Amino acid sequence: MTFTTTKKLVILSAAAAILAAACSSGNATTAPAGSAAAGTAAPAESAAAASCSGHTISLGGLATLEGPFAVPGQDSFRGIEQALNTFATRADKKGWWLGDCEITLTKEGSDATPAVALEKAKKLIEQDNVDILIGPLSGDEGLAIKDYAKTVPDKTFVNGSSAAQDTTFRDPAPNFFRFSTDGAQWQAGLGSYAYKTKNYHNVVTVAEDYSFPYTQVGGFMYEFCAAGGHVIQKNWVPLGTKDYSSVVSNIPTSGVDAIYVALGGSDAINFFTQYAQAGGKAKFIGGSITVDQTVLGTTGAFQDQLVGTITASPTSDTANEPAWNEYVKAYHEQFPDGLPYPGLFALSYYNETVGVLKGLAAVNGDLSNGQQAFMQALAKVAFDGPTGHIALDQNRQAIGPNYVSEIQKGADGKLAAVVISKADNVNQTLGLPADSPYLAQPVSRDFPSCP
Amino acid sequence: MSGTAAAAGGKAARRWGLPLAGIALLILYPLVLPLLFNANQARYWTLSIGSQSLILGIVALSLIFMSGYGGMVSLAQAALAGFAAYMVALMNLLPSTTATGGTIGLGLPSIPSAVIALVLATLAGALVGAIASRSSGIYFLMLTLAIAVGFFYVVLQNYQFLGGHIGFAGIVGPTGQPRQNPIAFYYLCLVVAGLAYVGLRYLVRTQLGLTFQGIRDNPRRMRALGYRVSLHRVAIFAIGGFVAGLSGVLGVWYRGNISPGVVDLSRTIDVLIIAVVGGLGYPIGAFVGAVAFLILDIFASSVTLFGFSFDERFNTLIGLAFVVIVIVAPHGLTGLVDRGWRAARRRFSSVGAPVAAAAADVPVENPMDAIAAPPIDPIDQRDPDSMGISR
Repeated sequence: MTFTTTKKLVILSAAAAILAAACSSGNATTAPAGSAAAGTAAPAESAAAASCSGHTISLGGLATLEGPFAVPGQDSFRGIEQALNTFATRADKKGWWLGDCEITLTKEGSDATPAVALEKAKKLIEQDNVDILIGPLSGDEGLAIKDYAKTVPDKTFVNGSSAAQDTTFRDPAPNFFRFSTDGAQWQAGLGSYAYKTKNYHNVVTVAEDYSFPYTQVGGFMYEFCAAGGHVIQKNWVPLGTKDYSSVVSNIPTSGVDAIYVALGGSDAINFFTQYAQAGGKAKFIGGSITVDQTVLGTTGAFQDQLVGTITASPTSDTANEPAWNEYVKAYHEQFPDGLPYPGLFALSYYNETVGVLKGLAAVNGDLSNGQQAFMQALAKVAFDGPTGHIALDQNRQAIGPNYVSEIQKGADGKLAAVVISKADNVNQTLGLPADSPYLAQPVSRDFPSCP
Repeated sequence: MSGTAAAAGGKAARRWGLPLAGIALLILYPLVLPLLFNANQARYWTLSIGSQSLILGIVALSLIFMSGYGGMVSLAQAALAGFAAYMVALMNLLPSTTATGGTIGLGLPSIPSAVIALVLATLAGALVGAIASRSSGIYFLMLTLAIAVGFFYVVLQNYQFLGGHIGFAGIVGPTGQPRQNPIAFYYLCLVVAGLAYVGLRYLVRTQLGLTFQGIRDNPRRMRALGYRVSLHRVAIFAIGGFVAGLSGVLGVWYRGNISPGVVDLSRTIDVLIIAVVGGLGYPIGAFVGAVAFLILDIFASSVTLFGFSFDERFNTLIGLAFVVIVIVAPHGLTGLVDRGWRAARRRFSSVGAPVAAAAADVPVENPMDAIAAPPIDPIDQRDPDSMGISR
């Protein structure tokens, strides 16, 4: 009896200890000891030089750590930390600093659904009391966070890598900023290249059924339809689809020049495999996350078919520009366990965080008066990122560079994306006038349309 | 004479002391928060922790009712809650035409929308029951899971009437936007949760409730006695659908929108986790489990143990915590507290009134019995004389 009572007491107190530990919020991450030294390439305009003192600046990071985007989510946090390591370190102190104000980072992970992203954002803003939220990762999450941002006008929301068009294009939130380009901008140059150079005139699309692929397909079609091309069929599949047999059999066997595929990760591998097994012969056009290293590195019957696939993205592994090479080198130094190349998720979060640090430096860390001065400064921030110049438009949406690439087989027999062209200063309408019929409606399953 | 009265008073205090303290705590909770936190945090604890615990607790309560009194662990409860939420959206939203040409929205006020949604959720529950209640064991689990996953894919891919991947937004409850009036919304949730709890506790003592328990314990004998077992099981599902529907209605008012993510597989499993962690044998366990689940879910990423931060590995911590809970408390957290409370009471009684102690000495529940026998309500078992039930 005594023994069991004691045992119960031990268990109860252990449970209480777990709960107490769980409740002690605000355990914000600060920079690990080693990383302060790792920011070797800190330029002269380091945020640490600003004259701020007397308070802590608290950043909240929100990315996807469960579900289909868990690996990109981890890379996203590397992007935030790399920006802080590069621009917010001091030689004399550990941690991240803006002048004498310490910068803390509190991380939260969602599962790519808007409901969870919203709860995590509320936790960061309301419970952890962060000043600036950086995130989220995925398109629908971004739309939900934008709506939430409107109800918290005295906090600043900076996008992560979410790329749905209407996060900023229609009904924007005045305190939501996006230093990354959207999914339509990520397709800039692809539609014209497909029509004019590749002579693809009739295209079928296969894409996942949510806001980000809508934006990607829309961005491709803005140029492709305007050039005179026809999208004769659109296939939408749920995220995580494994069986594409009905889609494959639905694609016409003749009269199709190419298939536009906007699927991510394992979805893309499954589709390419099943299409090749079914004997399909059409050429491919890839969305921005379709033919990345996970797909190119997979061995399969579809490998040879991928040669000649054209794709467009705001980042290119093989860009070979000085700023990009320096960025990749720092990434590898700071994160030895990182990916072979920082992906577009890491780059997006990196650019967002750099934007935040430059905005903070411009007002010397002044977040008083409902962050009004900071938000005004943030809207004017422009800088040269690893891939090129980034500035914000009147909706606080980035205008930035974009690459068109083609998959080619290297001398070593491996597939790689080779840059064909680069466009700088791509705006959110891809150069279309504001009254263009292509912009009359939000991108969706059925719009734009040019059958 | 006076001694008897004092003893009775003492017994009443022991019996009602904990519940009354709990009720007082729940009522005072949002009023005390502003004294402890700043305004943002008080709102967060009122809504995201307080109201959300009650909303999740109600749907877990429906599962605990069905498993505890009907012997049926249904995995379709999250889907039924989501069904009610979709119905609220369709009733409440202003008429409009979707991109694919369907006409949706009736533009009803929030309360009539909720009433219609609850009626439909009850019918949907009965329908699920009609399909699933003739099976049992693993087949029953598979059937209810299939219905839940099927419902998820229907709402995910139906763009004509159910909004597809995006769902519906702009649904407002009778208390307005929860964020603008968090305390009113909290009390709305508290009243609904309280009514659902008291209603179910009352129901299981009525003749109908006793029939349910008879069917749970020995369906063959009940059939021989002339009861229509399948019909009663369908009734249990309908009641379960109604209670899950209450959670769905409050949930859609809480979020202001509804999308397929709210009825996906993780949410289905969450309901089961909440019920198991809280204690499948205890109706109140639904709410205990919901609080524990939410606190863990929300704060796991803020935990640093031995210099290792769980901010990117919060799921590991959540999983470990649930494993520990299930191992040290096989009857859930409520079972743990209940046993501690009973042990303390026995000790207290044996010091104060040895005679009463002997009378109140309920045989200690043997864990093996609980495994071998169908689940029984430990609360009923604890105090059989006060229920008028003779086992």
